[in-house]
Amino acid sequence: MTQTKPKIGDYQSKLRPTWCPGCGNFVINQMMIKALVELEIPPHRTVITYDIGCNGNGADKIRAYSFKSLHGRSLPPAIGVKYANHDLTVLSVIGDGGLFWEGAAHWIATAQRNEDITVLVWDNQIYGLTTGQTSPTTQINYPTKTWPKGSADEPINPISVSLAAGASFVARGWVGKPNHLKDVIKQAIKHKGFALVDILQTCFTFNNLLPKYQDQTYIIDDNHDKTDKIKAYKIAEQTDKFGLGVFYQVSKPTIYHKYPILKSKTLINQTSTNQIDDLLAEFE
Amino acid sequence: MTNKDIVSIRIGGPAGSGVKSVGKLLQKSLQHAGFYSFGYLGYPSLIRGGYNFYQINLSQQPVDYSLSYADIFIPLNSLALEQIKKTGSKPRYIIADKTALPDDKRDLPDKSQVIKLNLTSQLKKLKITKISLNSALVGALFKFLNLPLEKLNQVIKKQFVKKGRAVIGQNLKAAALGFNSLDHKPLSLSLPTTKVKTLVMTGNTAIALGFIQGQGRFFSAYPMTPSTSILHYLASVTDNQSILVRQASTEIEAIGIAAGAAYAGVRTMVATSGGGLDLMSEFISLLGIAEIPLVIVDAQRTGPGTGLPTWQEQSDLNIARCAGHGEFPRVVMAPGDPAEAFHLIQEALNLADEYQIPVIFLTDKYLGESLFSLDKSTFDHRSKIKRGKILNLINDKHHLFPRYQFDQDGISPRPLPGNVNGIHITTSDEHDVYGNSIESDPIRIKMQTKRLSKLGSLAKNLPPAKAYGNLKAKTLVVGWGSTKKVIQAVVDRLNLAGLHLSYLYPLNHAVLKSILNPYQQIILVENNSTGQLETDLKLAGVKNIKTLLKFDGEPFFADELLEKIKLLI
Ligand SMILES: Cc1ncc(C[n+]2csc(CCOP(=O)(O)OP(=O)(O)O)c2C)c(N)n1
Ligand code: SF4
Ligand SMILES: [Mg+2]
Repeated sequence: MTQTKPKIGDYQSKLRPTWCPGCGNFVINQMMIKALVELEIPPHRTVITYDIGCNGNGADKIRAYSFKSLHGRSLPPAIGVKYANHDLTVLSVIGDGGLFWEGAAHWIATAQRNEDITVLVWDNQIYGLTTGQTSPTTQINYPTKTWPKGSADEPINPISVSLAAGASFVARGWVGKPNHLKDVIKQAIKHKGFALVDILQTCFTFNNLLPKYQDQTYIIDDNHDKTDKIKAYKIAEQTDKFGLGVFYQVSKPTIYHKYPILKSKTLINQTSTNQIDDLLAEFE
Repeated sequence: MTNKDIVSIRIGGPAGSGVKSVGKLLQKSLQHAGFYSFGYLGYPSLIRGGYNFYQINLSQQPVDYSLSYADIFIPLNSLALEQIKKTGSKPRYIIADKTALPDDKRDLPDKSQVIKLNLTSQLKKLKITKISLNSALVGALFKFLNLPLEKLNQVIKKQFVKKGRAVIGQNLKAAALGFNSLDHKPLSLSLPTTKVKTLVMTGNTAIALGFIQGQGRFFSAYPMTPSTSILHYLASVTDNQSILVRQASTEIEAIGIAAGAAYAGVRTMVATSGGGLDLMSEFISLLGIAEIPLVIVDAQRTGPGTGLPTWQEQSDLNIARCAGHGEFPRVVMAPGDPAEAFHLIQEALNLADEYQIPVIFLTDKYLGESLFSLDKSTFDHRSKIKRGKILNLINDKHHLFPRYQFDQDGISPRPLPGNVNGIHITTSDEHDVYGNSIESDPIRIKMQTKRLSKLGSLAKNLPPAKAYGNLKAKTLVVGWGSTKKVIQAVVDRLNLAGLHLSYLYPLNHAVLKSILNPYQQIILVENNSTGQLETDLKLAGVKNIKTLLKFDGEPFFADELLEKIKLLI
């Protein structure tokens, strides 16, 4: 059966987003939709898992098979969906608090095992929904509700840690460059294996990063060798400016290589019946 | 029980010394000779050293419980003898290689007849590997019990087939050496004549087989004793079955991945022990509100905390009933033996699917790791697969499909991701019929009421427990989970009535009361320190309950329970 090409409207929710005016999440929401439409993936073939946070309040703002998980736990259900039915496109949305702290074990394990999901981190460098506490990516000295005189902890570097954990695709996007962000999301979705896009987002209310990133971001040169991990680290560790685009991309074994059963058919479409008769002989 | 028909043999020694190998070879050979047997294993949470034992009870009749004493003790080193002395048990016979006996005779338990063998030195003389001592010991025991060596030889040939002919040859020689090293046979047993085809299997394997038979497709777990052998077994069969097994990075991830797989439509199960269940509880709560089916096996062990990681307890009933914040429906069930485990896990998969709920399946160290003889026909019990209201065909177009719509029976049809007309939101937030998040709203009350209404139907529809034994007796002995067989044995012996509860939540209090109240006295047996089922029985209005508890890390032994119940009746 040929599907008609999906349109923007197919993905559009009837609900009005509840984000603050000026919030970067509007841009991410729209760029996700555009990326999926341009890749011609229809909404019913798309599963998006969400975390709890301002990001998760987007769960009913895109029309697709959405799964709003618990705080820090957006990734595990996404992995499970992919195991059950790998014909589906599976995205996992999560915030900086959710992924880099509450769910950090999932971040590392999912990257290490090269699970075939696309992780989109809505990284506003603050706890948005809980009204402005320090997050793992909050800049040092930035005043928050939990560090009123300025955050004392040095922030984590999501790109470097993802690289170290073994991610096969690591990229950064910025809501200030929507079309570029969309392209990065498209590449991430197309990547076979674990893809992480750290999306610099402005929390207009608690951490307005607009001025900072307007000045300090640049698009990584087209000639950057994406398979060179050391170069990727070098860009990731720059502190005066912030590269945008794909830092690193290699092809690595993912679930189709690891589980022979998934080679010919999805798990849900397996037709053979499990049989215990032959197994009983061992116990005779 | 001081039952003349049962011979109990205990093999003891340090971890890694072959206790399990000797025990397994012996139990397999006895099975092959036509006996029923029961193997109970005790071991510390260590890889080398410590003290391990493997106790085998054998009989011509089915025997599926443990005993507190051994008729025959086979120590594999002198530490093992010290252990048996410490417990005060006095085996009638001690059969041992010279190397496992103390130099000083006074260190032997008095009253035991010691049969000292010279196997190690003879093996050495014949240039047979030291490890074949296992087969030599079993050979000696076969002679001791007056059983034909041929039966043992057949099992050796089968057991070592993968190791090659040389290894088989060495073990056959060793078995013969052991067999010929004894000339007396004081415990002459006659070979069983009945020819039932039996299997020797743990409860965990039966659970895994039930999952396979129930067309389970996805299993994830993080290793934790005593659940781990389910993970091992399922991982070992994935070449020939349509099953995917994922060892997860944490229990939280295990159940999170499982939730995703189950949501996407495949039959899914996870397994853990109490500590892992604690970690899983947040996702159990999500399953409750998102109405996702999942079977969660909790193989209990001695708690709290890390407790006694490799020992027995039934102390997770409370947490099974209430794990996860908020209020939502679930089923808690507990099989009593491997046959029931095989059958019940298939029911668990059906119930999870039909009611779109988490089902917590309680087993424990004793049931999960003990080796039971089962009639092969046990595995003919194959439940019909019921997947509930999964919707494959939806004709109407929907902007969003009302996944959580209000149906008469409280169960909403469930389209799976990929269905062109079934798009909806699945969420841990309270939601409207489409899955959109809501705030405090009249729909919240309707949704919560809808979900909880499943508990009412479950309490009505779950099969009620049936009393057995002498229904006119004054005393009814009640238990749940792995105490089933030991209680049955005692109830039989004392001509009492018994009741085994397989379904533990939700309980139909009215039915329970009507079953229990005709008895003058209820004896409740629980392998824990507080009596977790007692609360329920009291709530149901059951009177005159006497509770027998045990929480030393071991299961109830039949002889022990017999004496304790005798004192109460
Ligand atoms: C287990 C648990 N702990 C805490 C919370 C409260 N909580 C909700 S969102 C959030 C942090 C949000 O920060 P982030 O993940 O960065 O998402 P954002 O709101 O910024 O998009 C917290 C702590 C929760 N929902 N669940
Ligand atoms: S709090 Fe920040 S992240 Fe959340 S909606 Fe408002 S601006 Fe956006
Ligand atoms: Mg944030």
